[in-house]
Amino acid sequence: MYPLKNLRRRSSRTVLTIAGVSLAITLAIIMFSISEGIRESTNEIIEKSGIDILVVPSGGDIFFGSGEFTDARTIAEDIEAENENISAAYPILRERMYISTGETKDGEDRPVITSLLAKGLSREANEAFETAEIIKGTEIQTYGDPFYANGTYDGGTGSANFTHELVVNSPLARSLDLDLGDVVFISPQLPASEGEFDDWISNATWFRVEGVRTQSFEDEGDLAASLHLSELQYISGKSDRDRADVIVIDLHNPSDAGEVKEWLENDFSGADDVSAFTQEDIRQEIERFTSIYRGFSEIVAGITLLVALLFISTVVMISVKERTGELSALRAIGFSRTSIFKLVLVEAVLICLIGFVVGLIFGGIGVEVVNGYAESAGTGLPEGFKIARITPDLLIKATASITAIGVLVGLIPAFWASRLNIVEALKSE
Amino acid sequence: MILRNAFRRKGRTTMTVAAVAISMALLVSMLSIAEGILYNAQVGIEESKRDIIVASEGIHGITNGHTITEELKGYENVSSASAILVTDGTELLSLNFTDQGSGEQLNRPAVGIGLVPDDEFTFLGDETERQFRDIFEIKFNDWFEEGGDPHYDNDYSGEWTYEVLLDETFAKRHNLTHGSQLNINDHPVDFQITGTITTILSEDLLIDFDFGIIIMHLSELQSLLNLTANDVITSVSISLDDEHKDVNAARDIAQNIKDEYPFYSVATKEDRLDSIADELSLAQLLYTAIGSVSMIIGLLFVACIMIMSVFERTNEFGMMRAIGISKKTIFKQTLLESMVLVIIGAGIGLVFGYFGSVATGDWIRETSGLNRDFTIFTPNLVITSMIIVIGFGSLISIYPAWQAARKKILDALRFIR
Repeated sequence: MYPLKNLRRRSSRTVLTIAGVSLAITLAIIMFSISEGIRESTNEIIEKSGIDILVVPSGGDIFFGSGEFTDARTIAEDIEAENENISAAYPILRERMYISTGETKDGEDRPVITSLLAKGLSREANEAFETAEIIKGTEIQTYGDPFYANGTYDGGTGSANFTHELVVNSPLARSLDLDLGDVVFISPQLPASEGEFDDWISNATWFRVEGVRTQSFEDEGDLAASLHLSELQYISGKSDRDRADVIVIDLHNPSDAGEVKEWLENDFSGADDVSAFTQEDIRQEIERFTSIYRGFSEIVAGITLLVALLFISTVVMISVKERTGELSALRAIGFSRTSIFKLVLVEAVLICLIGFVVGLIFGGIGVEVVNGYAESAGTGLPEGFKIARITPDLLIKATASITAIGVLVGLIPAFWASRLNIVEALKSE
Repeated sequence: MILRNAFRRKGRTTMTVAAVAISMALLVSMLSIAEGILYNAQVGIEESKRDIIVASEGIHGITNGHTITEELKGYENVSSASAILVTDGTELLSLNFTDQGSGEQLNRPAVGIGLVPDDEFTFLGDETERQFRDIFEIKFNDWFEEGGDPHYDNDYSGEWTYEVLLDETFAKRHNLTHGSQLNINDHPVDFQITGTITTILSEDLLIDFDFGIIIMHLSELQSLLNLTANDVITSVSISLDDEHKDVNAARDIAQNIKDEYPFYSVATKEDRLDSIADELSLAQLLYTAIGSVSMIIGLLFVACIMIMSVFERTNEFGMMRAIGISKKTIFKQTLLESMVLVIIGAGIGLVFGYFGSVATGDWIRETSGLNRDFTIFTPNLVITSMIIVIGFGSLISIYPAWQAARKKILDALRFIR
């Protein structure tokens, strides 16, 4: 094919031009794939969790924080009872605590105490939603959160109802080298000195590791563990008024989420005390964050592609001017203006498309490198979260853009070539 | 002659220089973001009076905060110490108040910071420039009437001051002024706004979250959060006397503190700077890489144009060789021609890059709603970008120069395009 032959004829400039285009495409693909990755991964995780609505104290935000509910179980029960679209409502408490095995590892001077994000919830809540998977062992086993005992928390940590069940996330299990059946100690504070460590152990509450789970998005990249709500409330001093941070809601029909949110914030008996967030609200919040990054990517990719555009258009123009005699000869033997126009245009589009394919390959490699780095650098991303993704939408937009650029840069040289005066051109050769 | 050759084909030269200039402008803008990220993080720490910070890994793991602070004040070579308690995201304060503009009764969350005014004052700079930047960026427009922490006395049964400082943006949004009443966490008595602070949060924050920032007395915040049983705090900042502010002295004192409190983190300024540099190195690398890729495209353009130019001037190079000009001279000349295009483009790009970095900073500021400088244009940046450009430019220019130098005389003279 003539355009392809021409490209091969001047191989160095063709290679350099294609290299320029492919670099621009690689950069654009990697940058856009990051915002696509964050958005798609977050949407998947939210949908998979099965949480239809999150309720926090009035004015709060699920990403940035809120106050605490008091009488959380009562509020959850009222929510469930007052709206038949609601299948279940569960309170959840999250507290920063400290955890230790109490033992000194080889090579360490003293036992390690590490910070922990503890999540208190009932077994029923755990089963209703899928935010993490069990790798080893089981979830918390006992139903009904028995230690709550109608708000009495009777008997303290020595009570027969205090289950001491704990499920740790995999980074925590790795950090403290935990296995099933291991005993750990959890306390809301740290000991001040080494001398106070034994007191700390005796005042802390022991738990037994029942299971190890994957990292969930709620862990916020931290070492984390799940236990019964009442037990966490008690050991963190939040049992005085049945405190919790959030109430998660499961609907019979997830498409009712908008309607139920409206009801919660306006007609529910406790409407003044709550703010509700649907999956759609979460998506929009993520969209707001990624919009800055996407805007930035568009500017950078746009400028880089502009440079590539200048590059290709200059090279194609010079290339056409060098071949004035050749093109005139083609006209002289009967090639029409339209054919010459098409030949030159196709050459320009070919450079762009070859550059695009090469750029796509390197872009794909780049995306794998970014994801690999993000996973290995211990950034605390939840399981299955891909920070960069090449989506079909991204591919379509990229293909359309590069084709448009190819046509644009080829138009003027193609037009110029098709307008050549055969006699003048052949005379000057 | 080099300049004449470079500008022989004005059209293509203009396009080449333009491409290099645009790439350079983008490189400079990206580097200015990279510099800005590091500068913002570092300058607060470098200028801070907090020579050592004792903290727990979580947000309130340190117990007996008041006592520890007094103990640390008594340490040799320590000139002052100050305890701080900060709320975390799972436990924001709940503010109940009347919006003075609309008359509406509102409930909003707030970040709470508790401190002992007299202790913290020593870390804030002079009267006119009261701000701390190394934990949050806050400028105090007003200060507390009561300098001590009276509520702490007699096991938290001392008098409450009910003084709070509120961030200006939140106060303005809800028409709250000096003297306005705020109920916090359903406490039986309302607090009074006795002053404001300025933060980097503007009125047009990207996130749609209406929250305040409250500064109050340490013991009062502890009471509101039920943290009085163990006098829990987040961190203690320590200032050393002038003779012991150097890196080694600070490290020794920090080690002594660490030996006494092995479960707390004890960080000197040096430690905090290293930690910040580590955390931000990836972000910096990212921006530098983005800028460099763009620059390489511009330089590939130069190389391509030079290759075309060398090809067109085959006869000319043949003639030059025939009259005795050495391969080395032709190599150098062609290389320099290429570098002229690169340097002119880079110079123009540097100027546009400056404006680009200002525009980028403004764009990020407007989009995020945070009032701070996100980009910074420094001599270091100019040097880094010129090194990148000249370095890559030289490498890329070697091939066309080598092409020009290796042409055989007879073949070159016989060459017909």
